[in-house]
Amino acid sequence: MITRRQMLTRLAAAGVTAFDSACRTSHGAGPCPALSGRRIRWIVPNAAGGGYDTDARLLQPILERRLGAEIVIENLAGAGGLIGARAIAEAPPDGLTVGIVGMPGLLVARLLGESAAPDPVGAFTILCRIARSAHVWATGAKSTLQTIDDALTAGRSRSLVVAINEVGSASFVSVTVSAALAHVQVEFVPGFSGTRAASLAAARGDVDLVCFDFDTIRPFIAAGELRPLLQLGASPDSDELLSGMPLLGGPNGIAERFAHPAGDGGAHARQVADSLAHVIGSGRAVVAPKGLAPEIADCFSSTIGQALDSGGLLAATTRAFDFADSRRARVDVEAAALEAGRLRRFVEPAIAKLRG
Amino acid sequence: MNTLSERTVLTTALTLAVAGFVVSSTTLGPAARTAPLVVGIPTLALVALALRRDAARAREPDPDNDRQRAIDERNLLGWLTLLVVLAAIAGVPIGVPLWLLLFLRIRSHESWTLGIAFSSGLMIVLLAVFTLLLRIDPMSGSVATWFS
Amino acid sequence: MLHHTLAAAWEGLWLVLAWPNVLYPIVATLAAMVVAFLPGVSGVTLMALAIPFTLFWDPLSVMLLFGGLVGGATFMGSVTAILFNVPGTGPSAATLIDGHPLAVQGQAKTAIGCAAMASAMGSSFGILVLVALIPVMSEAVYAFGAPELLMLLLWGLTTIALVGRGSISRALVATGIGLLLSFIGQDPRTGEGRFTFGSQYLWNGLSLVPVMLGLFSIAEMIDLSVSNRATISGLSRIDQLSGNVREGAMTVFRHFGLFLRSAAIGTCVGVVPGVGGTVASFLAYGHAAGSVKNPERFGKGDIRGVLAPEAAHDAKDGGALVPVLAFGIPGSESTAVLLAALLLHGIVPGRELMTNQLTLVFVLIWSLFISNWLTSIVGLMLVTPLARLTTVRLQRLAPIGIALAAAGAFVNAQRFGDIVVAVAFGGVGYYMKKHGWPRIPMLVALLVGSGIERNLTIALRLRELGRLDVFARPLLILLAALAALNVIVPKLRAARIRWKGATA
Repeated sequence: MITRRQMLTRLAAAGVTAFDSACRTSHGAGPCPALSGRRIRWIVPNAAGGGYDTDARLLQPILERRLGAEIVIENLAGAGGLIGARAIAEAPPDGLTVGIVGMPGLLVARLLGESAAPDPVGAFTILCRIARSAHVWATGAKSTLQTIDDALTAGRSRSLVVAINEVGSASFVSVTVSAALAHVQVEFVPGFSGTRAASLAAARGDVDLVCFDFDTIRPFIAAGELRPLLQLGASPDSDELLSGMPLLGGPNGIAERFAHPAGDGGAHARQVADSLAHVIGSGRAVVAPKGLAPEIADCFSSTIGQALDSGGLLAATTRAFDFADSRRARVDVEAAALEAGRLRRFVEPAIAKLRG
Repeated sequence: MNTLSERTVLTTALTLAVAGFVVSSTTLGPAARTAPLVVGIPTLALVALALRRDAARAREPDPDNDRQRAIDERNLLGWLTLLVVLAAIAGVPIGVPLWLLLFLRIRSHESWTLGIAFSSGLMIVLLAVFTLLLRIDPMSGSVATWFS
Repeated sequence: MLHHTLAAAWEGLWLVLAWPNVLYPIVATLAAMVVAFLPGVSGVTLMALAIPFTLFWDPLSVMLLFGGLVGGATFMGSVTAILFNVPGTGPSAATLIDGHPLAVQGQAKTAIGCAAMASAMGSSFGILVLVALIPVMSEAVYAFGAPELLMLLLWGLTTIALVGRGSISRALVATGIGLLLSFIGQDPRTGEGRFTFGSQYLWNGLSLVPVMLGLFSIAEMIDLSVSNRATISGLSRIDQLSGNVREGAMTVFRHFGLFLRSAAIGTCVGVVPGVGGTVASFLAYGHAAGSVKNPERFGKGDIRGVLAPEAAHDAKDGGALVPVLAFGIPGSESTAVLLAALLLHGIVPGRELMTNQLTLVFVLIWSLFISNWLTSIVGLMLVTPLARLTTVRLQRLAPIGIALAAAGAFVNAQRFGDIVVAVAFGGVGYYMKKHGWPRIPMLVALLVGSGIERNLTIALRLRELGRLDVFARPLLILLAALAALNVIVPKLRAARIRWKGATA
């Protein structure tokens, strides 16, 4: 039970926070003089409550305090994150507009020739990466597909039914490429309104599989509603829920194991699997419009890095972060953009077949 | 224009809108155009029938024709257009209260005191909502910000 | 399990009522009520603002505060809908269909009294169902797949389109136009842009709020402005207003069966993720219009047309907590922000929360319960001063209503295009009303169209792949039967009346 003293202390603390924030914004006490006292627009490319939104709201109070600025979160959902990404890319590079984007989604959109998708490398100043995780194949807990071998065996006699948000999404590309490497047939059920809706369909047994970012479906896996079967990466994730999970890439991964025996021993298949892992692993990045002054970009990057390291933040949440500074994040995205080209020959025919 | 003619114009506009959707659907891919065509074609048929009925009735004498009301309606539509223009030029927290002041004075023939009181009150509320609640630029949305 | 649930409920109640804990939901409710009075500004905005302030609070305080914020934002939107035909929130649009005509007839107090009681009792019903579902939350959410959701939305659409008064062909055309408008944006299956004409504004589709504000609020204000009425109620003094709060409140008990059915509809819709309160309100309204014995006054000021959507709208809150607590799936916009707040405080929805932290869950539930009743009680206390506004000269009130609607359209998503849409639909809505074209089917179709297409796409695809066995889904059959009955029964009843008249 909260005592009266605790409540009054809390109200006072909230008031102090607000007053403190107001003082900082007016007297410029932060480490970035150019941003102190300014109002920064933080664009989130999905609706309130989604993963990107949660990340932004976690960082918001800590960044406000450290930068001495006011951060206003703006949800611009739609078109698989492209609307929000475009809004960031088209804003003036004055440090007053930043946002979180999902690099895999942008890379895939560019791969598929989506004209509305900003160039992940050319249209943004990448400030840092804050999270990344591999895509994971997962089935419902009640499914008869208990292991990846069950899924692969079933997928050779009939098509595995996979729930996705839309044709052309990062999930669609992941499944198309990984299924081709594993030589299984898949049929897609597009149209789900989000990762969670599709995951529910798998948990319910309406579909065989989903394939999404592990961080997003982790709660379902932890609750026992979904069972992970395959990690689409080259090296194991450290999360205990993926311990011992088969890999798509890497030595003796599914791609190499099921590569055509008359070929190159699976080297090419491994390359494709690694390319897929690179594209998906390009992760969530905090970006600003192209042309942002380097000192402001560095300031954002170091401040966010410090915020993610702060004990208070990590204690307050179960989110797992994977910070990379501006230079490293940019190198990763550029490499992923190059690797994405290797996936084209798998994805284009699948798109053409589905779109008619 | 009498009431029956006006009704025909409305039905014509609705028919053209539906026809526009149907025609535009034919430029889409097979999957994307299915639902609009399945809905649009029967709707077009029904609205075309309604247009035929209304057009036939428009030739009859109209006992409900109220010319003064029609003038009043058009006057009000003009005011609504001005609302959009003022909001575009001056932003919502200033443009909308300004419109309110002009409307109360010119169309409603209210006193300056009342007009200023209501529009100031609205401006204060909107500025509070914009700056304290939503924390967005009060000029957000106005033409001025397009060039900033 | 029952013993564990009851013990957690009891402990949660004591925690909420303890001093000074009880101040949290009270303060949150009052703040949410003030905010919700402004059109276009919902309680969600306040919830989002509260998140950074509460980042280092303990979970108990967070649950106390957010329970109050979720519950406090609903009723005041209905008050503006009844008095001024300006829906403060999407769900209030269903209330204005009969609520505003009642105000025009000088019965504002009756309408608000009914709304307050239906709102409070509806939320209590939703909470009771939520508590009853705690042991089977997963199963409750699992029961609604794409086919069931499709049937639910079709039920709502056909009810509104086919059981309304006036020309059925015009209602069908309005429904068709609403569906076409809902297709603007992206095709759910392929992501291809449709009817966007290269406009980024249209890429995400037409937003419901500006269309609603235009079709109803601005259109009605235009209609009142050009009419010969002096005030909304036609009366100039508050003492001339008829009706009273008590009479309105007792309506809920006089039509208790309708109340129960409406609250059940709201709760069920709330359980289904992503559907929202607006659908719940319109579904309940449509059900009421189609199921009562003498529906002639619906749309002209039938108090049952206020009771049904209000009961459903607030019952939805309890239901909407089911998917968010069981799976972390938001059932509405407010629960989406609630989810963000929970996750930020390390409160992870799912089995762990529902078993080992059940007391915390009940703190949220009791806070929501108190908030809903407090909102209604405070709302009732404000009835007389608010009803006074219906005696204000229209030449003063109408431009204020238009200004608020236009500002509300912008505030909703901060896009200038929304003001243009609201004003444009205001003009269209006025002429539609003048020439007998129904607007409600258009709005409901716009609301549910994309959901229908999305779920139809999924259902047809599942059937094509042999993954949909209709006969193995009893809920689907039940919903289909309800939808069919809701359309057939009024027609049979009308035919029977005509036959009796002919043979008399």
